[in-house]
Amino acid sequence: MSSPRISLDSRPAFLGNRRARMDTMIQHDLRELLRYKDLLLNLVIRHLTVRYRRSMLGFCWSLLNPLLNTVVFTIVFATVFRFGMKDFIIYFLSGYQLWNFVSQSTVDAAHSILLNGQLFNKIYLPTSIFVYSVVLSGLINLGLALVPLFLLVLVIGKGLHPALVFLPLPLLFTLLFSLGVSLTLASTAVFFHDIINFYKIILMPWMYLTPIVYPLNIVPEKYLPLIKLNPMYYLVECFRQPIVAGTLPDVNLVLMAGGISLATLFVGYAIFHRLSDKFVYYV
Amino acid sequence: MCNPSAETLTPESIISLRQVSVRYRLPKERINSLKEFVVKMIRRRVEYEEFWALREVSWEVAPRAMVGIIGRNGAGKSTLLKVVARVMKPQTGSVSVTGRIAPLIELGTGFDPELTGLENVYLYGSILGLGWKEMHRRLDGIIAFAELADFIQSPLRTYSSGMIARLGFAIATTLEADILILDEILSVGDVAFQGKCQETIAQFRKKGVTILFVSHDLPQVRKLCDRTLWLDHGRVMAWGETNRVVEAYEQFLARNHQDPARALTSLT
Repeated sequence: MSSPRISLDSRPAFLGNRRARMDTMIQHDLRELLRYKDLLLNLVIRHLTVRYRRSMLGFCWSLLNPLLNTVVFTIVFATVFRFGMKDFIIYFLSGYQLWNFVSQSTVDAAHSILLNGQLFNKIYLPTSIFVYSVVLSGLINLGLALVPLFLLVLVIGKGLHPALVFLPLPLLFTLLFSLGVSLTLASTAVFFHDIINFYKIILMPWMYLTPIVYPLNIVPEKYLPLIKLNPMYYLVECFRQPIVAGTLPDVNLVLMAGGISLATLFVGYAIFHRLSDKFVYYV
Repeated sequence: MCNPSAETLTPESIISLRQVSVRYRLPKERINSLKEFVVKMIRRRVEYEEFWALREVSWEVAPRAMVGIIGRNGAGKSTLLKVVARVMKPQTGSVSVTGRIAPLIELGTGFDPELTGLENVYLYGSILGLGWKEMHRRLDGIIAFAELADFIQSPLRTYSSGMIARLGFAIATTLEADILILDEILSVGDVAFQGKCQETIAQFRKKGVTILFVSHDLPQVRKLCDRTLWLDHGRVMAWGETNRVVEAYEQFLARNHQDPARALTSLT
């Protein structure tokens, strides 16, 4: 068995420049994550299954839930709203499911460090693993929610268009963005619980500032800059266009989406690691 | 964060603390909101109550020792264990620990009541840093030790606290650890289970595992530990041969108008 000699030093161990320190930090974290990959997996599985533990249908609910949701939305949009757009339901659902992933995983992640305080208070663990596990479970739920959406695309939409091959890229961007927001919320919430409540309130107007329930072309010209300040606009557009229109999004749109999500992840990571040593004093 | 070459260490010690101080900072008034905090920050009115849980503790433990840690409540025992277990980073000083640490934590922490005993074995194992394969190999041993073969497929919420303690102890002891941390663990479970725990501790000692044993039960410390550390108000009061240290501690308790026997029952 290996016997690693672990040394903790309160003085800065890396006296090199900041960039080198960041690189070493990231390397160290990746190694730790790899070491605890089975824990990550266990946490994801627990997160996905525990909710339905006491129900008869069990994990089937994970698929049934979005399916039934989709059916309800389809009926509502087809009969009640009677919008001009024939496949508005596909337009709506593709944006809505992506939004759902971001909002749910970030809210869950915001609590994750606080919830597991009793654990990393006693046993050494890479604390970020709780954030990653929550966001990963959210991603799996998104995958399950996309199944009924693609069925709709097949039946009333563009069909399985080759443009769909592009989707992993906006999904990756959204994952990175979500991780960045989650890391920021989870770490700051340890010191100020209010942040979670504040964030939950922000989520509602944020969703309406994202073109999900309305098409972009009904937005008055003067409000367009406001929408373009919203990171979710780029992510949703990149994700939706291949599904709805069967075309690839504009390069600028993709670059913006990628840039924003990488920057968000970087900021979230930096904040989390600045604060993580102090978690144990506050939980 | 980890820089093994930063310190030259005495090669014969498995745990080495140098001038370690841990400070808790508690805001004097409760600050409940971000707004309140920002306002107070700007006015520079956030006042902290400083509390040193450990003050310049230097401590070296040789491998294979069974070490008792004693002291009154709030002496810094738990903080010391947190520093050794890498959970807490001290404000000053350096810590070096060689090898794998198996912490025995309070009843049920890390377990999920909705999962079955079996699923919890894997979950808890992975919390301790053991993968699926490693846990699978140990599974039969764990179930047998915990005497839970009939209940392993039931959700943990149906277990009694004794069963949970047994399961936790069984998992933690299958870890091939170099250092075992026992924080008041022997006070849980029935007499038979406690006997088993002591047997396991004896086996661990034979294997050469270093054991840190925190207890208020002084006769037990005397019986089990070779060397003992006495902490008070975050300072090392004494460190050395158990009988000498425990005696000094008992005298100290008596001097402080505290009947050690009474203190003992109220603490444990």
